[in-house]
Amino acid sequence: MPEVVLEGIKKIYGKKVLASSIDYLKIEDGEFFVLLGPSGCGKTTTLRIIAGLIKPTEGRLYVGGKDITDLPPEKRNITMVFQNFALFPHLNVFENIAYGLKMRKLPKDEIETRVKDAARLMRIDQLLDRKIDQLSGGQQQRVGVARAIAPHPDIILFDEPLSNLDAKLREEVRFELKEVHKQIGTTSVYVTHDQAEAMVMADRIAVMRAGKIVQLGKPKEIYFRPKNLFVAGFIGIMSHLPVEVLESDGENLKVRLETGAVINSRGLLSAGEKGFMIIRPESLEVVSKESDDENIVKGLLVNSIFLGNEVEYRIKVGNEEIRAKLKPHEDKYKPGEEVNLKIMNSWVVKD
Amino acid sequence: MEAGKFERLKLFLYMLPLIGFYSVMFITPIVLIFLQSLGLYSLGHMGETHFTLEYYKKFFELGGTYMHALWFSTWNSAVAALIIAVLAYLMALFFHFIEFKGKKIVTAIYKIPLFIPYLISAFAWWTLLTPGGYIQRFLAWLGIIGETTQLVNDKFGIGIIVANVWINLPYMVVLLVGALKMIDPSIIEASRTLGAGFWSTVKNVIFPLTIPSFIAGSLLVFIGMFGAFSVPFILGGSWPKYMSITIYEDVVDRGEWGVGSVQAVVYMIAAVLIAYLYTKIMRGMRGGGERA
Amino acid sequence: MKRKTWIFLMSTLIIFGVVFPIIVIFFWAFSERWYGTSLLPSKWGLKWFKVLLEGGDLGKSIYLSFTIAPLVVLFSALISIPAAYVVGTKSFKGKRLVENLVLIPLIVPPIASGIGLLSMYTNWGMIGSYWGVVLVHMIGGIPYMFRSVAAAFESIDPALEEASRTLGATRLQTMLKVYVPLVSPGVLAGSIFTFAWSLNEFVLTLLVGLPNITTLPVQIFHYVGGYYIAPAPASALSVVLIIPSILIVLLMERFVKIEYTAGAGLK
Repeated sequence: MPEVVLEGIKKIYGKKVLASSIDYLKIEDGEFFVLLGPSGCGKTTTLRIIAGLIKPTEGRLYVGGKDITDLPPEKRNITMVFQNFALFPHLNVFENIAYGLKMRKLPKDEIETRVKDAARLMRIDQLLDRKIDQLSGGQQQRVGVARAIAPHPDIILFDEPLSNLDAKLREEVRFELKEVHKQIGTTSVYVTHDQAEAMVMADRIAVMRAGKIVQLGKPKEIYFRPKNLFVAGFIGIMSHLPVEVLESDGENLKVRLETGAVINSRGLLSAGEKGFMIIRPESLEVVSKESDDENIVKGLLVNSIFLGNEVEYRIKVGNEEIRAKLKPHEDKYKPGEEVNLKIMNSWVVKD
Repeated sequence: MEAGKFERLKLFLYMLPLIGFYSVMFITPIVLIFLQSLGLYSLGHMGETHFTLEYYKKFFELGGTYMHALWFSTWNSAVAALIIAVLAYLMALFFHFIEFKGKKIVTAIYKIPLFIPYLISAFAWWTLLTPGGYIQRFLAWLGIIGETTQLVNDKFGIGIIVANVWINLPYMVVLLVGALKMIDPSIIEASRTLGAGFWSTVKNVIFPLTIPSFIAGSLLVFIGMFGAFSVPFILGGSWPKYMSITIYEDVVDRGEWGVGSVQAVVYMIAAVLIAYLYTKIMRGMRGGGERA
Repeated sequence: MKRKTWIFLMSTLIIFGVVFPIIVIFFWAFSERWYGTSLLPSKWGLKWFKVLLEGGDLGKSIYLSFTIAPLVVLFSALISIPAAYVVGTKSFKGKRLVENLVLIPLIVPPIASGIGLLSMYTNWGMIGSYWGVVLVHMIGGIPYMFRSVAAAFESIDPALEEASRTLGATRLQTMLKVYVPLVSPGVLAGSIFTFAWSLNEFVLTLLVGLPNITTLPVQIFHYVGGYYIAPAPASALSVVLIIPSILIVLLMERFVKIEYTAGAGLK
C-alpha cells in the first residue's frame, strides 16, 4: 500500500526562508495528486523532498508506512519526470528507458519486455533506436515518462513536465498522461502552476502558497468552494465584491453589497461578518432593466471585448469592476450604458 | 550586413598585426627549422647548404640517443598524464559536487601551481626528493626506499613525473570542473531517482558525458609535459634524457643544428597532431552535447 | 560526521600538497645555515637576499622581469584586440582557422621553435636585446590575450550595437559606451594571464636573452642549472617570483572566473 505521508515536513534555507512547511499530508495509494501554486510557493521543494533530492530540515516522510526520510533517492523506488526532460544525452531511447531497470539489476529479457511495454504505453515504440537529439520535445517527454514508468516505482513524481512544451501539445499530452495513469494506477504526485492542467488531471489538488498548503480538495470543491481570495484567484477567472453578511443559515447567506443591494449567496461565514463575494464570469447574466428578479445588481458597462466565441464585459459595480462572459447574441449593450446583472451563483470568503 | 570586398579588406586589416607578428616570430623560424632539418638552410650559419637526409637518419638510428630520448619523453609524460587524469577527476568531482565551509579558500589554493614558474616548481621538488630532502628521508624512514635511493636524476624519471603531476594537475582540474558544470544537474538527479547511487551515476552518466573534455585535457597536459624543458633539466638524469634536453645540448653545447632541427620538427608534428585532435574533439562536443 | 572528516581529509591533503613544496622554498630562502642532517635550518636570516642585492643580481632581475611583463601585456593587447574584435563579432570564411591557429604557439614546445628564433636573432644581431625578449614573450602571451578578449566580444549581443546606433550614437560613441565597458573584463583577464606568462617565461628568454637579459627565471637557472645546485640563493630569488604569482591567483579568484578564462585560454 504505497500511500505517502508527510508529517511536519519543513525545509528552511538559511535562517528564515521557509521553502516548504507541511503539517500533515496523506496521498492515497493510486491517487493522482497535484501540487498547485505560483512559482516559489514550495511545490517543487516538496516534490524534491519526496524524491529524496532535498533533505527536509525537520519532519518525517513515510511511504507505505515505512519511514524513508533518511534514505537516499536511489533507495526509494520513487521515480521522477523532469521539466527539462533530463534525458541522458549519451544514451538512445531504449537505453534511457532501460536505465532504471539496469540499476535494479534485472535480467536482460525482463528489461527488454519492460522497456517495450513502457514504450508502447507512451506510443514511442517506433523510436527506441533513436538518439535523444533526434526527438521533438513532445517525444522527449514521452521518453521521460516511459523511463519513470518502466521500473514499476511505488510513486511517480512529475515536476512541471509539460511546461516546456507548446500550448497545443501540452493539452494533448495532458490527456495522455491521465490515460496512462488510469492504466498503470501508480500513485502520482504532479507539480504545476497551470490550474487548467491541475483541473484536468487531479484526483485531488493541494493549492500551495509560501510553503504551506492553503487548501486541499477535489478539483470541483476548490473551484466552487475556495477557501479564500488567493485560491479563488489562482483557480480560474473571478471577480469579487466586498460584502457584509446579514443572515446565515447553514451555508446559505444573505449578504449586502456596498451599493446596498441584497443578494442570496453561499459561504461559511456567520451573520455580521464582513467578507468578499466571489463571482465567476460565467455565473453572471445581463438582464433587462425591467426585471424584478432576485439577486440583481446595477452596474455601468465600462468596456466590452469580443473574444470570438464569447464576449467579455467589464462592469463597474460600486467601486469595483467585475467581469462577465456572454454569448455573442446577447451582446446588445454599449459601453457607458447602465446594465442589470443577475448573480446566479456566488461564494463568500473571509479574506 | 553585406560582406563586400571593401568590408573583407577591412576585416583583414584588423587581423593584420596578429598575422604579421606570427608570420615573423613563429612561422618563419619553423620554416627555417624544417629547411635546416633537410640540410637546405643553415641555422648555425655554416655556409654551404645542400639537401640531405643525414640528420633524419641520425635521429631514427635504432638504439641511438634520439630514439631513446623520444621514447623516454613519451612514456614518462604519458605516465604523468595518466596519474593526473585520475587524481584530477577525483578532485573535480570533489570540488563540483561537495559544498563545505572554506571551499573558496581550497579552490583558490589548489590553483597556485599553475602560476609558479616551472623552473621553481622543478627545483622545489628537487629539494624534496634529493637524498636528504624531506620526502626522500621520510620514505626512507618508512622503509619504502633505501637511504641512498635516487628519486631525482634517476633513469626512470621519477622526479620528473612527480613535479609534472604537481604542476599540471590544477590545469586538468580546472578543465574538468568546467566540463562537470556543463552537465545539466537534473540529469544527475534523474539518474539518482532511477536507482543509481552516486558512484554508479559517475560511472554511467557523468563519466561518459565528460570523456571528450577528459581526453582533450589529457592531450594538452601530455604535450605540455612532453615538450617541457625546465622539469627534465633539473630533475632528469644523464641517461635517458628528454628530447627537449637533447635539443638544447645539441644546439647550444655542440652546435649540431641539423639533428637538433629534426627533433624540433618531431615536436612540431606532435603539437600539430594534438592541436588537430583537440579541436576535433571540442567541435564534436559542441555539436553533439549541446542539447543537454 | 563521517562526511565531514572525509571533506576535511581531502581539503587538508590538497592544501598540504600544494603548500608544502612552496614552504620548503621559503625555508631555504631564509636559511643562513642548513646542514644536511637537520630537519630545519640551524640559522635563519636574510643573508641570501643581502648577498643577491649587493651583487646587483636581484635588483637587475626584478627590474627586467617587472618592466618586460607590462610591455608584453601592452603590445599583446594592441595586437590582439583588433583581431579579437573581428573574430568575436563578425562571421567570415576562415574564422575558425584563425581561432585554432592562434592556439598552436601555446602547444608547440618553446624549445622547438626557440632554436629557429635563436638563429634568426643571431642574424639580426638581437641576441641579448631587451626588446627582443619582449617580442619572444609575446609569442605565448598573445594567445591568452586574444582568447579572453575574443570570448568577451563574442558574449556581446550584436543587437546592442544596433540599438546604440538607432538611438543616435555614432560609431565611435558606440565603441566607447557599449564595447569598452563590456570587453574590459576580458582584457583584464587576458592581461593577468599574459603578465603571469611573461614573468614565468624561461626557455625562450634563456635562448635569446643571454647574457644581458637575466630575468628572474634565468637568474634562478644560474643557480640550479649547472652541475652544482645552490638551493639557498635560488630559493631567495624564487620567493621574489612566488609572491606575485600567489597574488595573481588571488586576484584572478577575486575578479575573474578562472574556470572560464583558463578554458578560453587554451580552447
